[in-house]
Amino acid sequence: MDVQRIRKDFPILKRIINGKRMAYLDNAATTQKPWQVLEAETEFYANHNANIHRGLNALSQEATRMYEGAHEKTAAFIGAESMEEIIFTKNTTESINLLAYSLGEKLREGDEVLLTKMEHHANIVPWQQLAKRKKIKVKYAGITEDGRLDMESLESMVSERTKIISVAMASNILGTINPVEKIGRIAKKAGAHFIVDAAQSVPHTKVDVKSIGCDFLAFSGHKMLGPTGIGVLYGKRELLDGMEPFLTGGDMISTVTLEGAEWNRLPWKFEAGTPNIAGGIAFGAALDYLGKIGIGNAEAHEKKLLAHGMKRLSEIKGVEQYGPSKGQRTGILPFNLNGVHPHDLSEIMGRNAVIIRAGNHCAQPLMREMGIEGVARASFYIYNTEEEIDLMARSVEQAKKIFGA
Amino acid sequence: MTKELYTEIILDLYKHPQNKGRLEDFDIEAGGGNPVCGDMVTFTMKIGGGKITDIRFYGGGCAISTAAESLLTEMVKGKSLKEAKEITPEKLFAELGNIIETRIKCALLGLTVLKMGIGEYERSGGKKAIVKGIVV
Repeated sequence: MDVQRIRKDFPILKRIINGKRMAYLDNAATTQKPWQVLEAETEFYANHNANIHRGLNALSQEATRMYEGAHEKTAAFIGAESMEEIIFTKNTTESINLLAYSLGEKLREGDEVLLTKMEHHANIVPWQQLAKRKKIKVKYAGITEDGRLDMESLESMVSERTKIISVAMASNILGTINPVEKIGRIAKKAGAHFIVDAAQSVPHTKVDVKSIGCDFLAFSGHKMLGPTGIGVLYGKRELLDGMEPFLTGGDMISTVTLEGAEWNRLPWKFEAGTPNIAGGIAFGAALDYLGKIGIGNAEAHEKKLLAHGMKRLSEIKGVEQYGPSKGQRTGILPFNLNGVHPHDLSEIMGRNAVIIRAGNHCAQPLMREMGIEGVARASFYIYNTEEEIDLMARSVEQAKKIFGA
Repeated sequence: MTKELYTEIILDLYKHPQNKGRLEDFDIEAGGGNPVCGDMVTFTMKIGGGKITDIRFYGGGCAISTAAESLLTEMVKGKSLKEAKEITPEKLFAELGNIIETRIKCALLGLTVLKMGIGEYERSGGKKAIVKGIVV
């Protein structure tokens, strides 16, 4: 994998901020986009723009073919049976909301949804809302002191009332990779539906829905070189077939009378209204790009960067790092500098054109569990270099000096 | 760095905040935060003869918000409620030094929460006022 060559594909990486070349280390929030993705979107609008599934005109057929092609690419990318199991949504959040409504509709008072304490708000709040509507119970499996999922806690919370288990494949703060295959087996034994929030995994590692044994899997296009506004929900066909649609209206129906409607075939039953056609097609181009690089190569590169980052930060006195010290981790590096609030750290880094994230990262329950207010987080992707991490480490040193920490 | 954001006063107040803590015997308690960044603050105040006779604050936040809150407590202590309400962002910024555009919200968190607490106290006609969960 030639990082310097990859970098040439990303126009934004040439950005100068405060007179310095930008080091973009906030990839867990969103990734940058290569020309190939930008061009795919422009090319669609310039040459093929039409609404899909509308009429028999040639242009609409082209647009439909391209948009459906993106579904097919997505199915292949995560090992789904067919594109009928791939629903394009806005993002991971919408994918999980769709489930909380359509799948959640089947739950009865007293049923239980099992989550973990390391979930992103996107995999907490929709279930809390469902709990209010349906009088169900939401339970949270605990985490160990070093930030791994406490499997004993999880298993102890599974009961015959557990109808849904929904777990992040990787934590967006700690980078912890959870044993989803094992949880899949637990869910199967309990007769519960198993949902995987793979927003921090599909961009970084080979994800195969069959080997995980999940019923549903959600992720976002913009965290893997694609445009914003395209997310994915994978669902097993027989389950999607048995679910009522989340949003209703145009394109998702087969027939409508004044008395009612019948639903369109999958996946369109769950894609009401004109979808983000250009975004979907551009997401397909992002999948092509990642396919060429090879997701295994990306993973190996990020692992190397993580090891370098952990080492550089460990050399700075007063830096506390979080996340499992051993075991599986994605390219996410969470830390704090004693005596300096993470926002101030991020501010000083920003002045050096080093872009990281600081705060509670949409996971307030996890922050409370860890007993910290916030955390600075660097997260890596295919175009990052060890030099950029060195720049970040130098900024930490500088913050230490400014604050006399 | 061309403009110095972390002025001596900000760094000093962040490391050694004044009036930190919580009054057990208070007339006003006002708490809130910025959900986007997670900064939180709670003020407790004792009122006597229309004046803020004592004030404490606690919470968690960045250097800018902590310093601004600490400074605010010093600015309003011994002052009338009217005088406290008249503190403008400009006045606060003048005392704090350089506040850049992206950090104005940090600097104003305390002022907003404090003023809402005083407003609630006045609306209640001088009865004990507790406002929580103010979103800034």
